[in-house]
Amino acid sequence: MDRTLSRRVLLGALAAGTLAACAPSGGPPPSTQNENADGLTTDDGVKDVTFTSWSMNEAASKAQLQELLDAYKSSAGVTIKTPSYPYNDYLKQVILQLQGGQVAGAVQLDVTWVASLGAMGKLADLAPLAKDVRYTEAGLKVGQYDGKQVGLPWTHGAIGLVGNSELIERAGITTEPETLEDFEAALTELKGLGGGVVPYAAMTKVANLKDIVVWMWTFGSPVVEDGKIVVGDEPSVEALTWYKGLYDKGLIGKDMDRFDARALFGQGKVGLYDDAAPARKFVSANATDPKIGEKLVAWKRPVLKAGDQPQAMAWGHVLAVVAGGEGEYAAGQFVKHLTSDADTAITYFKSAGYPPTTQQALENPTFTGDPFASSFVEKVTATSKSDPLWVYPQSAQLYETLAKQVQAILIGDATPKQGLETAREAMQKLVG
Amino acid sequence: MTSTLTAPAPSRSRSAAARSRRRRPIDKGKLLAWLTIVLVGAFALLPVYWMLVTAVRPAGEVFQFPPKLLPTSVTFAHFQSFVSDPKLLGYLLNSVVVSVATAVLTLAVATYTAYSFSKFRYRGRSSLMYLVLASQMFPHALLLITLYLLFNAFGLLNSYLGLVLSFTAFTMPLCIWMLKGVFDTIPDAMIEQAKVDGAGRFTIIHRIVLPVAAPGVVAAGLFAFIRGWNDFIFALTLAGPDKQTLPPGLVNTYVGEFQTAWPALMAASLIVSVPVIVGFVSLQRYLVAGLAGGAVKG
Repeated sequence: MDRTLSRRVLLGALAAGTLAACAPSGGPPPSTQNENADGLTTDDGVKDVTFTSWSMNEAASKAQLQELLDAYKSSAGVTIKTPSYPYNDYLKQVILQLQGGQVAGAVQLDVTWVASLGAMGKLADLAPLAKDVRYTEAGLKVGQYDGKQVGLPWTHGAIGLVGNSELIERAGITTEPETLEDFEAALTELKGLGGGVVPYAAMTKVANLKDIVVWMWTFGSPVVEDGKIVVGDEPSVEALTWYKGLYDKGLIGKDMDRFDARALFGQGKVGLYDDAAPARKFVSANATDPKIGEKLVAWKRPVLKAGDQPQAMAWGHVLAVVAGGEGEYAAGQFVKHLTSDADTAITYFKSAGYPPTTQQALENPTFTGDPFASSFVEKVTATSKSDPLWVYPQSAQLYETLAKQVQAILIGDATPKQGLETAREAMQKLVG
Repeated sequence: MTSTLTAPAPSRSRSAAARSRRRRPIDKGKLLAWLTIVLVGAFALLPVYWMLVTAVRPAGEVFQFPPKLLPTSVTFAHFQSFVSDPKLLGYLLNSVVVSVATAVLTLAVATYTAYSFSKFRYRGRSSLMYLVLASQMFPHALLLITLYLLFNAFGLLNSYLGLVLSFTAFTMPLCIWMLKGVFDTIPDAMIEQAKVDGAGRFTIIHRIVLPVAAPGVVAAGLFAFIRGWNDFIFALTLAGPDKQTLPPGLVNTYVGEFQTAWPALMAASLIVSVPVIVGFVSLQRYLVAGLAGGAVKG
């Protein structure tokens, strides 16, 4: 067990929530991934699996997941320990524990953290486990770092526009808007409903303002190009000018994060907002309208010009395995089962709303027969892509820097050009 | 005769007094002061009130818009779910164990150190005192990393001992300075007198000084207890899943990636604040005396 620990790495991890301190400048560091896959493919006889996660404590998934784990325990004859940390502190804790050699076995990861954890070189390359499974191409991709499959996709989708069909209908919107112009017109119709309805509960609080990246893509900014941050280019400035326009016209909510948006949506006070594929579960949990889940519809994100490709940010969870040490084989089998067994994936989807990641499960009638889930896959997930900022171990800091400037723009403390240029300079400094 | 002449007098006098009371002009200054107190009090108590009504509201009502000051229906299900969850009760037990142990260990060390700083004159005393204070200036994240490294090397991670030692490390400096202030208020003449009477150092500290300094010691102990009770990040990082205390335990249980169980979290927070409130109320007289007696003079 590696007990050496870099003070610099840990300080960076704790203070900033990223592995900034251990990353060389200029982009992702070279991989030190464990090349030896023997531990994954040769049974060492260990029957104990440790599964570090946050989902085992989440109200949305805990009970359902426990059932799946119990089923696996009896079928595979293993014991499963489930240490967990709160989602918001999870990355820092896992980095610390991983560096301190305190964590082993299977580890749940958000797709946005794959690079941070992959850069540490302590996760096993799971390619041998993935080769005979029909995972979706996009799903596999979000689990890759530096050419290695450091995580197997557990649930995969995107963050896209979801709407309240009842409000949309009441506002007289009969066709899904294609362009930004149509979209703005639809929002104006929704605003006309009155009664405190927020037409578009877009993110305006720093915590979730990273969503702005999707709108920058929509206007044509790549955000990162040839290893350089290009925030502040003409398309991104146009995107912010447009976004600020919606803000000033009262078409998007003020001081809103995803928690607020979901809560208000559950009260029937939001026309549209951005959320991940299992949105139905989240908005139904505390809703006053018991039928809100049935009213949920997925919309393609509007585009700048008719015919452009709608943009969406990939979203999902992957399962990784800590390389080396006892129980690597058992952890690998567990990860493979949880991510690829069709019955398990469909059960998880049915009970918790998390979309599966294998072709077999996606073709299952239970999934295809769900109108919201299947239309979300078709309209949102299909064109989703990973954020180029994820490849930087400092992505959390990059997002925070960008979000602060976007907020300054929204409240009028900076012009879109000034704010984004300030953001670009600070972001570029962070990545070297 | 006399009685008939004198009997009505008190009645007249009482009614005159009543009229006078009625006519007494309102003291505007006092009224303003009371109004200010009521307003500030209401402002300070509003979060507590909101916590309470959130804890007894059904989940669907929590996000009602516009929000309502009074719940339309009341439920105690959230309190019930806390007390019936063995995992949460385990966190509670861990909190009690480490907070009490932290208070005891902090007092055991801080009392003697503070006494030494206050009543003995030796070389380097002043530097040592400021060194102790300077340790408070390190960012907690840095202290945490140092402790993580040490505990990892000594196998103290995920143990009560590690947690108690870490809490003690950051409560100690302030407690030493609090207690030094208390001991400074005890006249040296009292100690000299005890010496003349033949008392040894042990007797002087335990029989003469500590009883006099008791309010200050209680105040310092309560501070150490609360610090241990409320800590989040040290407990989350050093305790591991089995020895986690309430703050990380509650966050782990109720705050998720996609949603926060506000009513349950508020109910749990109310329950866990009870020991601290009880501690404050029952030790209030010591606390006030301790603070007034120099515990915060530094």
